[in-house]
Amino acid sequence: MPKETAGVTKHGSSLWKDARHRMAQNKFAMASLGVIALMILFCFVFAWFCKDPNKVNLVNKFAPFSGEHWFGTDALGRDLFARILYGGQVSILVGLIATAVSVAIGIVYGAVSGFAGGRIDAVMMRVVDTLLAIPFLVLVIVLQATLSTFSGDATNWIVESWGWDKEFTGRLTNVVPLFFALGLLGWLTLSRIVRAQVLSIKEREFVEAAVALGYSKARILFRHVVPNVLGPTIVYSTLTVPGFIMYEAILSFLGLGVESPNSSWGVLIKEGANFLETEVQLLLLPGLFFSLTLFSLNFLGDGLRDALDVKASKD
Amino acid sequence: MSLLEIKNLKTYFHTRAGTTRAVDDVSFSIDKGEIVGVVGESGSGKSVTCHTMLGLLPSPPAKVEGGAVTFDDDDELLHLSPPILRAIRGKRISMIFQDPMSCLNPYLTILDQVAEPILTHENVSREEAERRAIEMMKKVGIRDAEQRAHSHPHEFSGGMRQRAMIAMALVTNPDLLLADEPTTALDVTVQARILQILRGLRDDLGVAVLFVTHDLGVVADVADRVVVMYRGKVVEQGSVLSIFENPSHPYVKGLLACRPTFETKYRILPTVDDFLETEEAPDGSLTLRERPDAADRLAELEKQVATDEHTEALPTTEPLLEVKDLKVHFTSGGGFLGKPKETVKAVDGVDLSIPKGKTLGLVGESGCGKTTIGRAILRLVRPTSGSIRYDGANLASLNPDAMLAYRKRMQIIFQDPYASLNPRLTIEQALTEPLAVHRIGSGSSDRRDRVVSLLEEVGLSSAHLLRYPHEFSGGQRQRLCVARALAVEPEFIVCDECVSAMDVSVQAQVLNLLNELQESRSLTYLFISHDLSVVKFVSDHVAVMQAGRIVETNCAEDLYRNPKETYTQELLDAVPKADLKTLRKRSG
Repeated sequence: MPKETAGVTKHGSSLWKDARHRMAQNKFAMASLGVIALMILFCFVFAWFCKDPNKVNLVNKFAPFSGEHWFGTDALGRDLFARILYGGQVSILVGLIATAVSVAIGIVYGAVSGFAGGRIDAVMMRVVDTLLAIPFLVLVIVLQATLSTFSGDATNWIVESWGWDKEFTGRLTNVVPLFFALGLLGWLTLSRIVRAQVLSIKEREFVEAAVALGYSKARILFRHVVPNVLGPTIVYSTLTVPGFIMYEAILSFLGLGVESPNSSWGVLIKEGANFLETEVQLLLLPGLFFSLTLFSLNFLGDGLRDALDVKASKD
Repeated sequence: MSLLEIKNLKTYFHTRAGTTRAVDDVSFSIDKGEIVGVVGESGSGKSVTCHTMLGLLPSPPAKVEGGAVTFDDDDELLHLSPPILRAIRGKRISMIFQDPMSCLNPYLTILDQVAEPILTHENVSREEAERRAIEMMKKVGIRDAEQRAHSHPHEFSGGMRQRAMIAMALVTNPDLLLADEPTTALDVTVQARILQILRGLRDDLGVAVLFVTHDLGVVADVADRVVVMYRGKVVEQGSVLSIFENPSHPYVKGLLACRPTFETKYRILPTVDDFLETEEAPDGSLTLRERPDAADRLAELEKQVATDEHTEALPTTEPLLEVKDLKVHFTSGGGFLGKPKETVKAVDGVDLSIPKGKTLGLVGESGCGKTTIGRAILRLVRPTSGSIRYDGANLASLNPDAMLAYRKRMQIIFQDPYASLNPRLTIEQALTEPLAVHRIGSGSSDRRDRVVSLLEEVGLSSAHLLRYPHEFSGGQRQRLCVARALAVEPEFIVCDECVSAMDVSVQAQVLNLLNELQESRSLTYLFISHDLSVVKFVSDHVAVMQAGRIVETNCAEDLYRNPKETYTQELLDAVPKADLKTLRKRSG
């Protein structure tokens, strides 16, 4: 509803601001945001003060909960708490990096396809259809394997030219191919969503007005069309973060993802499953962190969808 | 004894943002066989009143805070249990809605849908129900009802669908028909026929009709009595003739005066604000007062009566825009698998010319191609053939780069002000952008000054700079669209149905703005509209369009006085007449 102000320049509230306001009133979403923040704090800050997650101590295997080992130790006597936090780093990074890569590609690809229309659109979408027709995990495994062949060279190059610690670099180059394999293939559905949104936005009259005002195509696409498709894109991408974490876990569980001694939640769950009958906490504790994060991300995604629903803010 | 009696009805909407008094202490009644028109602008509570009666409002947020609706002397509609209310809905009180396109189920045949109310409410055989359905379809003017009854809704035109809706509403012989803007989405010629059918059915079947509309002309045409609503309250009610002849409430006076008609001689239309002062108390209650100087203000406007400039003959001077044999054909189909291509000839050989500083009105019914012409001139769609000479250059053959220079000189204002502003940009960003793209103004502070003066020119202020489009009302948004179009300092503007979605009082303000700007900036307009009265008000010359072709062109006054083509005559006849002479004749 318009309000009259007497001659005072007042900052209007943008749709983003309105959405933030609605978001702040959604208790579930805010609690989820808190859980996610806490999880990131634990895995990326608190982890530095933990024990070495890879320190093997065969004498002290399957130790019970204690002041020294909060969550006990695993089959090789490694501190489980430290391993969960370090594993969380990999899992959360997989979610974030793969999503960032896929969102970047998906938005540009979908927006260009939808905006160009005609033959270009048809060809671009057939490419997406073809890739979607091949099982996702098969593609990811092939791409990861291809990227991994370069990881040895990359390690040496980084160690030589930047002087990084060799072991740390080795662990990094071991997981990075997986991040990118997921990201480089995860944009397919997103690009279709963006394209559909662009198709409807480009029929809106403000886009025609922009054409009539002589704006360039790039300006119209990136200043007038894309910002209006970001809402649904953000919602969809928050829901893909847990998807990617899940894929990493599946691949690691199958022994194709993150390799020991690196850990990830998927690796820990796989290791824990071996001792299901005797040491159930080895499965349950990583599983708890894993599910808590996924739950929170899904709740956050739902909250964002409600907050960014354009229909609710139309008038 | 009145059939329906509404007493002190109050319906409020409780939302997080506060309470809206959508219907605030409304009382009126309808007698058997009477047509009562409820008129009001959007948000006046007219539809809410209708929906409240039948319990059709979602609650929450809606809540009936008080009042009574008595139907046929014994039923208190507001307190009936759902099953009893259902038995009344569709049997004794039925309803027709605005949009005939979305009110019919696309999966069922027309016959299934028209017969359904009978089968729901009466214990009759299917054959009997279908017989009665077909009979009713004949009554509402569906020809060959026996054969066409088995069609699906998409095979019917808009007018035919609305007839089917009416048949569906009347097939159970209800006592009362609630018609919520039933002709708003229809062309004038179709509207005229539907109104005629409604009046005929009232005479035949004795059904009472509550006719909700925003259009005073329609009310004058169809209703016996009128109830005028404004911001949730009934401001005046009485017989049609008395309301039109002798309105007492300042709002009604304003409403009647701000509507351009064929007889309007004002150069600047009066607006509701010339008559009415509103004062809103902190608790949301309203005080409406007549402006003490209303008569003076009107007299002022009357002095500026347009001289007979609309009657001058088509000038021989060089036109600014000349369109010759313009054709725009759209092809659909023809995909990968070689579906047959279909060609739609949206514009099929049109000649137009507009002299500098004048307005050409382009009228026609929906789908006649008038909008496509506007877009083709601006090269928003590619013309198939023909020439568009603008100030010497042929726009139709320019490549996109060469066209860029002309984008500065010609602009367009669209119908829907909600869709024509980017919701993510502040007003300042939206208005600065064209200046920056065309390198108008030196530096950002100069551009800011220009934007402020543009805003002031369209009646807004620098206070609005940092707002977003969704914080403005429809009329204000259309002003913003005008300001954006003016930013590049064009000399020619296409107004594409730019007041069609507005309430009359807002429409008057925007029309006045367009007129003032034409004078101060010597603009040339192509004014596209389906509304003949509005076109007559703004245009120097008028072109009538039908099925992709221009039927008749003449200067405005002559065309409306002596139409030469039968199609023009039909259009003019179909416009609801609200002049006193016609009204007196109808009231006997």
